[in-house]
Amino acid sequence: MRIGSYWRISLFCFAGLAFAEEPTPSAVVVPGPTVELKGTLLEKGTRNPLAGVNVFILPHKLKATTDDKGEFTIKDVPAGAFQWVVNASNYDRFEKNDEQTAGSPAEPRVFYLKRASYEVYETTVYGQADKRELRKRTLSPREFTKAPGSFGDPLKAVQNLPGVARPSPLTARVSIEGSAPQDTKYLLDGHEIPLIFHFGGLTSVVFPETLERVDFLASGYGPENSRALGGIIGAGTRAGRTDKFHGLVFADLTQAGALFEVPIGRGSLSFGGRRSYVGDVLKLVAGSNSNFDLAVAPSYGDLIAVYDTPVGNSDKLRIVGIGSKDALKFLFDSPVGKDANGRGAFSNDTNFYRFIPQWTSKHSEDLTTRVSMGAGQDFIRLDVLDNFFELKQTSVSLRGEAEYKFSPWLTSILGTDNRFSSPSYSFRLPETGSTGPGSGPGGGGSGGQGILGNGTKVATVATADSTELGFFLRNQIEVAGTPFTLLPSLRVDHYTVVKETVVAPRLAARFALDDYTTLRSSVGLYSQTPQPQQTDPTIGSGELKAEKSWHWTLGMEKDFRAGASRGFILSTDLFYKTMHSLVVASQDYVTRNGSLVPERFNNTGAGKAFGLSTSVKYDAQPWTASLSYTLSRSTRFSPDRGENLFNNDQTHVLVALAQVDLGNDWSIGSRLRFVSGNPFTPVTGGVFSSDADRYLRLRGPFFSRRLDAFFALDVRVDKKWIYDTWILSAYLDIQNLTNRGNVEQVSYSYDFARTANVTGLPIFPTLGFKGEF
Amino acid sequence: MRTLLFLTVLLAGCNRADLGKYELLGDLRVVAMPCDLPEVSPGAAVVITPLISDVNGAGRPLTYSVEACIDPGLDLGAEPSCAGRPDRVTLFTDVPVTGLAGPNYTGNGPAVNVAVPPTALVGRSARDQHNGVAYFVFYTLKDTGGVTLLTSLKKILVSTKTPKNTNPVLASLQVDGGTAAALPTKPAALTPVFTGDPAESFANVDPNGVSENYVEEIVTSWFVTDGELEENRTGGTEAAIWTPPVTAPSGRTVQVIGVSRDRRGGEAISTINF
Repeated sequence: MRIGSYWRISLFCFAGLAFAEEPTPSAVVVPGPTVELKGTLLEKGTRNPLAGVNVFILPHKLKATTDDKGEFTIKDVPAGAFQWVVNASNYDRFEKNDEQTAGSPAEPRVFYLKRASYEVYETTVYGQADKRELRKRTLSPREFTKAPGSFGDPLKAVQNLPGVARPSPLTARVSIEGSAPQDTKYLLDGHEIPLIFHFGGLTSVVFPETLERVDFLASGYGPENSRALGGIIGAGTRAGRTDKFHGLVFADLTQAGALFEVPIGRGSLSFGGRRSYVGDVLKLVAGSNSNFDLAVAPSYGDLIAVYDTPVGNSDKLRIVGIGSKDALKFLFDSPVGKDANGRGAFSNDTNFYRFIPQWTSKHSEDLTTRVSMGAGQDFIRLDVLDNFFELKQTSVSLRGEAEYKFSPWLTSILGTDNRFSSPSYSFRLPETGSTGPGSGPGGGGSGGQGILGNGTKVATVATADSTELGFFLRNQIEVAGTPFTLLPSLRVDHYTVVKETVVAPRLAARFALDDYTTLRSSVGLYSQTPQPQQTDPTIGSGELKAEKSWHWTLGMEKDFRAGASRGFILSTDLFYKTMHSLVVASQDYVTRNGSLVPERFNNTGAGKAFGLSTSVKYDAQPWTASLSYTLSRSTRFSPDRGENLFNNDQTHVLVALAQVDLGNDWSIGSRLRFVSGNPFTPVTGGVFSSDADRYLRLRGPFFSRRLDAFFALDVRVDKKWIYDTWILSAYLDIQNLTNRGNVEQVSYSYDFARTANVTGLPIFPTLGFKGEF
Repeated sequence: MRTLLFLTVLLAGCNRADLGKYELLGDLRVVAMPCDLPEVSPGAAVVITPLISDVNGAGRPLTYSVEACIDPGLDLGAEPSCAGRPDRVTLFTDVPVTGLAGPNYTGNGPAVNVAVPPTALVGRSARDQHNGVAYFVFYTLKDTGGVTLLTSLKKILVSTKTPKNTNPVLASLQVDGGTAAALPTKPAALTPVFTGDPAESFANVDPNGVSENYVEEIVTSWFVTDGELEENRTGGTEAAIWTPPVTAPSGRTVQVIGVSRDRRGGEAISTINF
């Protein structure tokens, strides 16, 4: 049978089925004049064209099918009254009475079909979606924009994933599986950006609607990334829509913004920005507090643009531009202030921009290359009283990879991942440092008490160019005739700032027990450079080396749905990490150039972390629910103080999410969190320093006590109003619904004799609105 | 909404009155530990005279013990203690405290003589020798049962620098610009009166070996037994506003103490009794 015949028979059968869904009208034969009717069928609210949908005219049993633009034409329609009927899958049934007289011009009709639900809570795409990364979890836009407690922020929604510790207050940077927050690297389209969250962790610097995914890579991640002992959180931008002009505007209690998408040729340009007014809110709340004079308030804003276009038949170009500006300025109460030691201004400005061009070429079915660059500048200035720190940095990162499929069982990726930065910085700070040789009984890492006070300021203007070169080779070997996939890889990093080359082998393996069950395992070496202030020769040490960590993981994933549309998905992993060459503070003096000088930092630190990271997801529309649980223990070791719990160690991290689509464009979701309290070092008393005119703390065993466990229930309600050409959304997000006073830190009296708990966020509702077209 | 969390924490910190006020005297305190020579050469002898306040102690017997050592690395995280230090020196052990007479039991304790080790700068860089190495004196007060009540710390800067730092000279404290004989009945401005310019010039060497000139900043800390202070530290000759108690306490005086410091170890004390 010829293909054309087959198509016609199929169409006939399909049309018959479609008619079978309609009430069967009695055949009506109406002699007389006829008209031709044209129209367009669009999705209500989004104006997306609905293609391949049958449009009927009753009672005449006439039908047309929409084309790619949603347009249709029906000829020979008897003049007079009739009814339009559209009955498309996943859309509300559409009926409309109409009339067309003969002889008068027929205006094109435009019909809007309302989707059955605009509130679908998408499931998490688990690792199998990307065969490169065994443990990658990807959050989709609908998942991160509606997660209770994250205020629609994609990168804050990562906090709900297993293996992620609850961040400390005033920050949103997360610890991953026992690592430190600074061991987590944040990427935008594969390139590091210097600031990921605005002031106080309020929100990330990326406009949420410009992202198509957020990838979370925990322990055992692949060779494409490095320089992070903990893990990687990567945001991927979304190409703008090419069908027509789109836009959205939003406002909530802290910020407002807008985003537009414009088709350009075969591609598109998205651009938008946000501006906060959180400072004004703060002023309003704090205005009556005489102790806290907000002469200048904090503020932030960000801009983003994404240009995406196909080039030729097989290439793709994307250029992302992003800029962010944060300012935080307080002037203390009156010219003198309560305390002359605290007099003066405080301000903090952080600005950066990046351009990230990306080119993807598919040379053949077997060969694909990707190259991209991140170029931009950073500016940071911090003023505290008469001290300051200023950094100006030009940064360029280059990534490139070639993926070649040698055979059905072997695919290799060879790539490079480089970063060049040229910072110039200056600061004026009170000198800190021991004025006596020899180790004390140990405090390293917990900070000095700043009592030397000989009046010396350390002032420096310097540059410190840094080059980080990275090369990687990944292989994916499907072992013929077996359910094994092996991923042997190698990563080589060279760091000029520590003058060291690290060769890091990484091996991962996957074993498919059946179509729905996979076992996985990985082992690999990871490294990162110390923090910039630690390698500075003036305030740090110029002799440090890279910090390193070995990761071992063993896990499984089981999809109990077994091909069905509803059911459970279980993902669980054991992880074990050892860390060595960690940078710790030193109270030692070392002899350099014949004189005793403070060592300040060395690489004698070590640590380990191990645990279980599990998630269970249940999907049965209109319900979705997930449970993430992490059981872990993380410790650190330094020669001065031996082994102690890591300050972000959280034994139990339980996050339960549930969401239900209530119908009529209402949805409600909730998040329940139970997290072990962070360890802290108790203060056992104080010693009065007559020179500093304050008490110095006497510490008990390091990190030997824990804050009370954290518990919070957050609830979010969403409602959409679907109009023909636009959608209005509103959300109410209530944090800490039970108004539990979670202890975030312990506060001490001036002499450390008495304590009081400082609790975190009380019950707090937030209301936001968004209009989009 | 983290902002509100920030705000909550911040404001809570600002108004933590339930943890006591630093400037209010009552429980046992060492208010200051002025040393006759705040900066010396190695091997010098100095005298420290602590100002002790024990208003609520009502004359209970106290003893003091003193030990000293070179800075164990406080600014790098070491504990404020000489324990375990090889250069630890015990100067006094459980000596009775005298000089705290009624009605306020506030006054100078016995003078403490300290000999700075002549080797304090041995092996140190030229910069350290010029800028100074801290020699710490720990002064511990105990009750008669031997229970430690309070430990205080005084830094003596050992250097080769000349001229050496000296204490500011706090001549008196003024109330509303004059000498007050009686307890004020309304908020009053407390100001320090110095003899000469208390802010000395000095030079320190930065990490690159360059000598930099500085001028001291004088800060006066205010302590009261009664009433409310609007500022507990003021700079230079600026005033602190004090709201005195409506009625004087029975059985003791209302006391105002000013301690002026040059932020390099120099200290001076002046007191008013009403």
